[in-house]
Amino acid sequence: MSTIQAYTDATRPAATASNVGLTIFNTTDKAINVSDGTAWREYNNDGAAVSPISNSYNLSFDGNLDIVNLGVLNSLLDDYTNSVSVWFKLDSATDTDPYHLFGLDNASASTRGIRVLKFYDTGALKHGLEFSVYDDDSGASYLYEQIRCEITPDTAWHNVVATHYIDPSNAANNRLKLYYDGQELTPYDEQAAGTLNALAKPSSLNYTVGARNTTSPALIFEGDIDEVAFWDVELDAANADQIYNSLGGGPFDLSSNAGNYNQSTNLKGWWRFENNGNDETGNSSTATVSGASYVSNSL
Amino acid sequence: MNYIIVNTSDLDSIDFADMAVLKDYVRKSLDGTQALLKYSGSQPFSVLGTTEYSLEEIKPIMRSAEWFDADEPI
Repeated sequence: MSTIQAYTDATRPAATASNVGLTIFNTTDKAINVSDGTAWREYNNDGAAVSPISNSYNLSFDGNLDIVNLGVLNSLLDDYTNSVSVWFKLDSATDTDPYHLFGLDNASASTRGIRVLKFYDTGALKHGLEFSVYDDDSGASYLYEQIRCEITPDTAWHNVVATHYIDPSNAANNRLKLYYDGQELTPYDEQAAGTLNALAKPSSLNYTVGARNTTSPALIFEGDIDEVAFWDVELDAANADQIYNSLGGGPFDLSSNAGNYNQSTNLKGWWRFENNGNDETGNSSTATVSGASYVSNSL
Repeated sequence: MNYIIVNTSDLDSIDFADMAVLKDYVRKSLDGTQALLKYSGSQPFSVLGTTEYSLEEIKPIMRSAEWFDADEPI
């Protein structure tokens, strides 16, 4: 039996003309890498089958007044790097209304913290996912970075994982990524405002799911949402792919490492909506659900 | 689920134990004078006689200029 030499991103040799076709196993990404003479081509892992967790309910949003309040999460969020996962299912593949999937409860254009939207770009004429990260007001007022990625909507369940890393000393290192069903999306639009400071954490603002603005909900989701989670680290591609768990058939127990998922200790919030608003990590208080209905799960 | 629109000034007289929405989270019209509520089953006593809408009936109302600002930045 033969084996392929294993390297990490840091230890693999440079891809040069002298090693075209060299094939290695990259333990960082858990993927096969092949040198094309100038760069490494990655053939990504296809995940590992992990048994799905029992999942009896999800939340159904009617698009009119439903909202979930997760509470103030400031003490659980890192200042510079976090990740969010949301499973969602649209009622309509053609609806062009903007939907708030996860973000700060704030209707103004500032202090949004982390925000993930499904929206329709009326300029680019694309359905997409938008992910933005707003900093605090310690430097220039409320700087943000944002990416927009196109998706083709349908009425099936999908998983979105949004990850960010902000380097306050060098904006060139900032990274925002969106993974859709385990695959990283290529942004068609990116906004970078400059050097960001720490994440905006207004002390009185809650994070919400399915709509923003608890005092009069807006950007109200129409469809189903389930298994909302966040981590105070930047998840890598292997983790995002595993969370989608295409081989295992759906969401699994995020509180235990399995397959290529190795971030259970950094899981800071996990709302399964199993007929209750409990945070399964026990780190935050029970989510307040207004209007949205617990329905038998189709995820 | 059934929907009703009430005056915001009447919210204090409504028994939210019968509602499928929490009092502090109701959606208000853009001018703040009206509020949208919903409940399942028959009309609760505290809102008896209020015009009732189905989901399909309330959707276009919620997209009207009184309730929805199409130009609001997302």
